[in-house]
Amino acid sequence: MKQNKAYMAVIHTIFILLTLSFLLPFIIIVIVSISPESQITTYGFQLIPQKIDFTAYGLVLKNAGVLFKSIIWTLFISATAPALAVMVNALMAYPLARNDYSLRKPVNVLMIVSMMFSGGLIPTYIIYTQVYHLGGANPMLYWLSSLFSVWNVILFRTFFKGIPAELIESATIDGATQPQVLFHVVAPLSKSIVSIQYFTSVIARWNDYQTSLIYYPNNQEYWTVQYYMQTILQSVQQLKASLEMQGLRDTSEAPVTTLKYAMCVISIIPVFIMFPYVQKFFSKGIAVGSVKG
Amino acid sequence: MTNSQKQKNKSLQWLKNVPYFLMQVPGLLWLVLFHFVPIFGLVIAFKDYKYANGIFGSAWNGLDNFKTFFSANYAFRIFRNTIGYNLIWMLLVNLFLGMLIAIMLYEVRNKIANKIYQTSMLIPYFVSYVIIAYIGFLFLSHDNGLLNQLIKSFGGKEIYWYYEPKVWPYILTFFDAWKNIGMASLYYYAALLAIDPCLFESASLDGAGRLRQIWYISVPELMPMASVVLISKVGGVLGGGMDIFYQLPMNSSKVYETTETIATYLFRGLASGSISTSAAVGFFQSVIGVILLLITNRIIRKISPENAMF
Repeated sequence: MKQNKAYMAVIHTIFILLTLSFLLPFIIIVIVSISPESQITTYGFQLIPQKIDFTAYGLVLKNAGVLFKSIIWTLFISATAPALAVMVNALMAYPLARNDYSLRKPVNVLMIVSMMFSGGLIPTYIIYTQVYHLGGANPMLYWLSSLFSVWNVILFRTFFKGIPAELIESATIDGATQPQVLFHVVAPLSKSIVSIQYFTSVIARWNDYQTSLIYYPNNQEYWTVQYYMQTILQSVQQLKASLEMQGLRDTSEAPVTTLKYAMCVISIIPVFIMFPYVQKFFSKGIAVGSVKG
Repeated sequence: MTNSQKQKNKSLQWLKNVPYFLMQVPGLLWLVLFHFVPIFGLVIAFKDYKYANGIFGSAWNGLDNFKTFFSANYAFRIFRNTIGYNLIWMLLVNLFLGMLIAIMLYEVRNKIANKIYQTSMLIPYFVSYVIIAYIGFLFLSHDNGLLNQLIKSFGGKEIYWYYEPKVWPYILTFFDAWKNIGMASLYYYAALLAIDPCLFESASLDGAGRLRQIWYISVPELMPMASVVLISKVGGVLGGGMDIFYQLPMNSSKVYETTETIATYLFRGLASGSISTSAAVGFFQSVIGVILLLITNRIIRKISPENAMF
């Protein structure tokens, strides 16, 4: 029994250290964002602010044309693109879970083949931009590139297979058509999988920087928040340029570092709002428990 | 039943497929237009691609693109980095640490503690790699970073992290583990919850201690999940994302020696306009990726057929 206590103490100690390591960086981000810029330039990043200073946030709110534009744009994509994707994936998956669908085999094979072979970055880029004329001035790729996912179709299919066949049969006997069965019998039962897929994709869209980086690097109108954040982290010039664009004359005095981290805080907020909701599903195993199709 | 009736029945059977098929039309269209058509774009690996001439108009140049790449002095390091990082991370994070943390978490019976540990582990997974770069910068910044402050307070000489290739294998590995361990362990944790508790009870009645139970019950029960994880990751050993390699070193060219992988090379090739050479590398990469996947699947089918993918 004593040995057991020591054993549990070791486990708890490890987990407490781990938990701190996962939370501290985010706390430091917040601390840096509310520290005075002068403290950082003199002493570097510190865990305790000399005084709490909201200059950076004030500047963000006053001059944040580009940031707010990209936030609104990204929110718009993040809300709409996953809704479309969930619809397409669920509609693809439902027939694959029904035994009376004759094309089940060939479609499954097609999906497995697609998992194995893909064009890769360059050919995909060339076809999308040169043949389909997407990218650059056409923002449709934000919706199209994430519209379909074999992985999510498999998760849906597994879920639909778990719905008792009797339920569907009895509805069919009562004269329901296939779409009626889908929308009135299956859909109400699928709320959990639909919302988990929707919210994980919302977070994925919110975190997306690659679509902007690859397809829209020269079109600031269509930059997502994360890509904008990347450009200002990698180049102070970019940050100063966007401040100047918003009418700030003298950028030499601008609190560059705290400003970056203030934007960082603002851009994480939506993830932290949705996180508890998504996490609930994950810890129940709904999202990962049925990995294999 | 007459013949014509049978026929009618059959066509009725087929009619049932129509609504099903219509449901699948958007997905199938996407698959064809946005996945399979770009595969044909791979021909540019064998061409001297010029934007102005298009895919069909550009001249064939045989294997020249492959020769250009493989004779370049950076070809070796790109493959070494890609395979090295992705393979080591798959084994270390997705198999070993994931399993270890899940087993430890299973031991934590206190519901509140369990929840706190599990939740905090998942936070980094849902945060973007750009934010990871911001976090990295907190620690690694040359002038302000926490690590250099620590080194200086012990009287050491500050390190220019973003110019020093030697340190990046450790930094990248640490951050990959930090970001992904929550999700990696979640798969195993879900599998552990599915084990019949009677197994543990009867083992403990027979006098087996906790460690023994873990070794003889939990670990073997996790193997099917391990093979699923393995097969979903093995294709990425040669691919993998560019996220961490591109964002965390902030695209610093001084550390390409240890941070450049196929994925970042392809992206930089695209950005700098060397389309055909990059396409050749991509082509080579997908061929090897398919072979790896097939081999792994075959091995898993030999060991435990029910976990093979196909």
